[in-house]
Amino acid sequence: MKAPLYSLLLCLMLSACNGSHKNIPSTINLPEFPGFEIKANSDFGSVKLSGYEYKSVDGKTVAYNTCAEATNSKETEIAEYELFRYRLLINSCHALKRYLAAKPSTDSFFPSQFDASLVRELPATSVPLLNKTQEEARTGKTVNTYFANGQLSLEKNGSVKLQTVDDEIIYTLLARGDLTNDGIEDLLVRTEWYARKASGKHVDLLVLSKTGQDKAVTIEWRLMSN
Amino acid sequence: MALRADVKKDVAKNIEKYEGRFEHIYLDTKGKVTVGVGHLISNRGAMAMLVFYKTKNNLPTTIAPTQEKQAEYDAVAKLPWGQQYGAATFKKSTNLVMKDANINQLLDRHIDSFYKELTGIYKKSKGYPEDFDNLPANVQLALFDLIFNLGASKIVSNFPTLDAAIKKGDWKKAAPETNRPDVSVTRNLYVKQLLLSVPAAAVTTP
Repeated sequence: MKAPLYSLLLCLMLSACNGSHKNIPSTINLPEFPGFEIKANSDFGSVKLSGYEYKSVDGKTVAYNTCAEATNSKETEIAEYELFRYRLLINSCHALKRYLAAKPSTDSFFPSQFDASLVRELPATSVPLLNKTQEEARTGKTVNTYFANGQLSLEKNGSVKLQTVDDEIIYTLLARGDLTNDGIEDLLVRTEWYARKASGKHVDLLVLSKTGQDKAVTIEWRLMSN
Repeated sequence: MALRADVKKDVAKNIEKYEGRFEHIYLDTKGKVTVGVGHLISNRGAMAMLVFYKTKNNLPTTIAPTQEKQAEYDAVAKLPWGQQYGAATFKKSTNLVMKDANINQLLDRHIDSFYKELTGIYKKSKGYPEDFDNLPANVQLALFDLIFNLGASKIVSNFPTLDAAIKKGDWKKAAPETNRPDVSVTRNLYVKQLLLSVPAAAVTTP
């Protein structure tokens, strides 16, 4: 009886040393998916939604009961003042789809905690982008170097807030898992931008990868292009 | 000078389209207490400065005292908020309302503050074809849309090609540069059309 136990312990010790035999399950940050009926072995089509209603441009109430309904809808039908909230739902639905397709990882180079020190190392382009000028100015820089005077803080829900003179940017970890099919754990992160002195707001969804301890975090995929 | 009445009317109509209009307080998608046309109420103390009415049969009756307004603020601030909760869903949790006249007053103040910023940025002495007040009405409307969305510093610093085109009075070149992914296709098209409708370097005097 003891031999299998010793083997298991040895295996765990070895995997801790070289990191190539881990089996890290994908995980989802469920509180960030309110009204999503996600069960074990859910597939994207079977996940039901509750409480997602919007006003249309002609004043009617539009309700979405599944992500398929929501992602197949046209945002031009939604009243302008509901647009951001509608885009948050679309963002969540895409995140769910990515998470359900994720595989367990064999290794991870991300820390277990999603916090300010991790956000500091993310590419500066991780902030929802408004145009090419912003993208070019931020390319090759990290949050730490581009927003040198920005204040980072941890929010009650575990999100990280980056505040600058003009902007507030919220980073929320939605899921972890192998999202890029290379065996290495990636992060699925929602980023929200809010203008502090105006009404602008924008949301994006990112797949972040880190393929080595000394490698920089890269954006492997994003929902919104500018 | 003052903002042209026709421009102000259109700006007010547009802001209402973008923000909605709610007589009761609600939590926006960040959990901030808000009322009227996107008017943020920064804390419970700020309720004292706003005029709310008690209601009977869904109609405003008498002016609510500060204590009651702050109690309503406290109650709503504790409610869940976020992507599931549109502004209208908070109506059932409120007892007080603002009258249209008070909502309009807040909106006017909002427009005035952006107008001041616009007149500070767009000056002939700073290289623009005219002072803001003398720019064509449709250009004024387009700039209002941009500043309301992005804020004063971003429309200049983050949109340099747009700014250069505005300085040249080249509205045709400026039009595509106003595109923003955070607003709707319809709104982007509206702003582009405003600029495209103005002949190059056409400057009006009121």
